Amino acid sequence: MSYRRKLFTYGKMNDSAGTEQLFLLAMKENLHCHYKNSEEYRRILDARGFSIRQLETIEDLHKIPALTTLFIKSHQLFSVPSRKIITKATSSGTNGRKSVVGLDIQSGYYALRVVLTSFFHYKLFSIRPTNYIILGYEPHSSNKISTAKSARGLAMIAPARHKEYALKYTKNGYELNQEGIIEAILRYSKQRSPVRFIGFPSYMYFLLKTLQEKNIKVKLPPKSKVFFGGGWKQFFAESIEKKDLYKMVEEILGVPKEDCMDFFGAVEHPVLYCECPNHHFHIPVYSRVIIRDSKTLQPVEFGQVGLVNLISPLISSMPFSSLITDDLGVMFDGSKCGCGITTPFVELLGRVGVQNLKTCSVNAEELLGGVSH
Amino acid sequence: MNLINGKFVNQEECDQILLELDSHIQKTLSNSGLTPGIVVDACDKLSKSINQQNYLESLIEIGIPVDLAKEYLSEAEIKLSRKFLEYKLRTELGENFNQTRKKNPPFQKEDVIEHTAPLGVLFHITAGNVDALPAMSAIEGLLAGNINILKLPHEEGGLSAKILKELIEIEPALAEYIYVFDYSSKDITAMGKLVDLADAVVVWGGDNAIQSIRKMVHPNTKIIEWGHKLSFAYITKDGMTNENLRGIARNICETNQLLCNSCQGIFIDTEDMDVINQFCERFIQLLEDESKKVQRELGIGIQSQITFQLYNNELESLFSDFKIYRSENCSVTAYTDMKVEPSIKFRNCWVKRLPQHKLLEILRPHKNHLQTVALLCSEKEKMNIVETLWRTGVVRITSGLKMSSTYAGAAHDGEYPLRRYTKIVSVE
Ligand SMILES: [Zn+2]
Repeated sequence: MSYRRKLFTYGKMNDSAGTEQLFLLAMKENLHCHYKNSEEYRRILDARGFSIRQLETIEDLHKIPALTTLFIKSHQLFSVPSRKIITKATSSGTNGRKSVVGLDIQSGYYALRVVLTSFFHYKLFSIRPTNYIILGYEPHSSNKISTAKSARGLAMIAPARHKEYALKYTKNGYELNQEGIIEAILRYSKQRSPVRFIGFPSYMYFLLKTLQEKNIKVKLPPKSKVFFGGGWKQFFAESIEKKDLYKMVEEILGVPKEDCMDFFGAVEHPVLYCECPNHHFHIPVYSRVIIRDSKTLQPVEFGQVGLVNLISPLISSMPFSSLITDDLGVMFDGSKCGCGITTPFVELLGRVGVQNLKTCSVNAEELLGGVSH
Repeated sequence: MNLINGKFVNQEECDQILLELDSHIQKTLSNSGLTPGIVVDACDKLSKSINQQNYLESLIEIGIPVDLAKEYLSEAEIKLSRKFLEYKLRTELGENFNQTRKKNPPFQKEDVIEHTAPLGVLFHITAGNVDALPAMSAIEGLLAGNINILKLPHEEGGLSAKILKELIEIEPALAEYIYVFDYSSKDITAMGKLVDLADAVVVWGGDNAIQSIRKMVHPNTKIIEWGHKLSFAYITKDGMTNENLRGIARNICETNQLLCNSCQGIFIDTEDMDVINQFCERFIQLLEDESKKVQRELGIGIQSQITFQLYNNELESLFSDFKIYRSENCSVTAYTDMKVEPSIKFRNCWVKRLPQHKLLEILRPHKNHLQTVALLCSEKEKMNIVETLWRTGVVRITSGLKMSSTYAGAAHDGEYPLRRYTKIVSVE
């Protein structure tokens, strides 16, 4: 049995201490495969003077030359022939540039295993018929955005009694279905079935604000849940803290904060990070996270802010074993959380850079716009 | 921050005033008008008090490092002084700008009386690029005799409103010529109303900002654009002295390449990549030396963005033919193409080949985006290159050290601001 298989079928998703050796072996196995099969990746590892032998302990993971989320947008690196790719996903890219990630059967299977294990762990499966409010797009053949897909995925883990979508497909394209959503909330609140909300925090925030303005407060049935599928980054400008949003959820919908849950993951790194009962993202056994110094890229201590480097041997079809993202984050000692999980937890603080850079120098797009080709 | 009639007012009062703004403005316009003398007197008084502690504190408060803040203040002291402004007025509007001018044109029997008059109402839409720029823009509008309505950039921090309030305290007659509104540019109703009231909209900003203003403004209102620009250095073999190069390095470090006149990169008069690579090895050391002399603390957001970008470029360089030279606080990248482009800023510049005979071909397509060139060459070569550069669209040629400084009466992006803010009226 391969080490990767062992790792991704490992049942105790928070036993990082017990899987250190396994994780390292799985990483080596994964790196060997990419080194052998991806000419570009081999060139990078060689040019940066890295040899897989340098990985002696789990502390050496930072030595792997990481790719960046930017680099994989301009290079399609495959470690398997294209006929082995069974599913392709596109990340929602900034500036219109997207990365395409193709998974082979094995990677797809492991990604699914990780998600299912997490859902089991957090007891999200339910056989009770459930009402859904989906703060996203109603499925229609015209949209292929991966967030729409994952919202549908989440809606499958408890049988649906009724679903209401915030963006409904009409003959004029997608339209905001505010009335329908509010009606559904009022209707659901009088029924016995639990309600599950799924969507980006910003959508949830706008919904809650609307309800607040209309003086609507409900007490949704017990076991109702609110799921956020990441997307806090766009939310930064609104400067609302997660805990404040959860408080609004409790006040306006009557869903206690224990039943609010946030997830994050990325198509390039399909490990699912779920919030623990104390709303922290502990790092599961399937991945490791290194926070790197904002100037030197050296690993930093707990509590220090830096660039987030995600590491996992999950994907065998593309050499994404170690990826530096353009997110800032900070990592903490897991035992400080108090939820019982001891693996470190990571907090994402948003994209690098500032939104309004003070400059009067022309930028690249402007310059291109100024030249007729 | 809203400043109306010399007082800071809250949003409610502001909305109220917006409704009546038209009649306020008509009242002002029916008065005898603003003479440049009043404005110059007030500015000169302001310049004498500006170097005081309270300004330094407010600059530091909005995040400007102490040494830079001190520099800004001594610069402002000069730019607001009587000597500077009177020279500026004379240069830009002509010696007799303040008098009616009797002319006797050929093919015409009667004399003609001409006068330089303000446009009337200027609506300044300023970007957050240079600190206190909105106030400076308004002062230029005042010198030309206009009523000035300002929309401050979101991130300005109130510095401009503070300066203008001080100016009004010195000279209360200016109160009705200055309106500062804090409306967001997304507030279409308010923006539309202000645009309609203006004789001209003065817009500072990038192509996007300018494009959206162009869409908004009726042809009956003039648009005066101060767009984003790009500057660089041009070096010949004879100009490659350490002293010259240090000047460029100093400009890169002092401005962090954020200004329209900051050096983004360096073109060298050669076709030979070996020359480029040797130059990079030499220049990176000079740049690092200057970097250490001019310390600027970057926020973690910017710092990590630069680090991310540089690391990414290092990966990219393995699949391309450019080469990155890195040092502790800066980097220099040797490219094989000849494209004009912005740098990634914060002391990371590009170096490319550009033989003299290709200057026009390569630069000309970027005509209105080009601004300053630091030209380092021998005296013998200078006039030839200068003439070619002018034809490409470049408007200012200077040394590396002086790229981002200015002089009294200097044109901005090739034009005199006061001329753009006035019109010539005549009566026969
Ligand atoms: Zn926890």
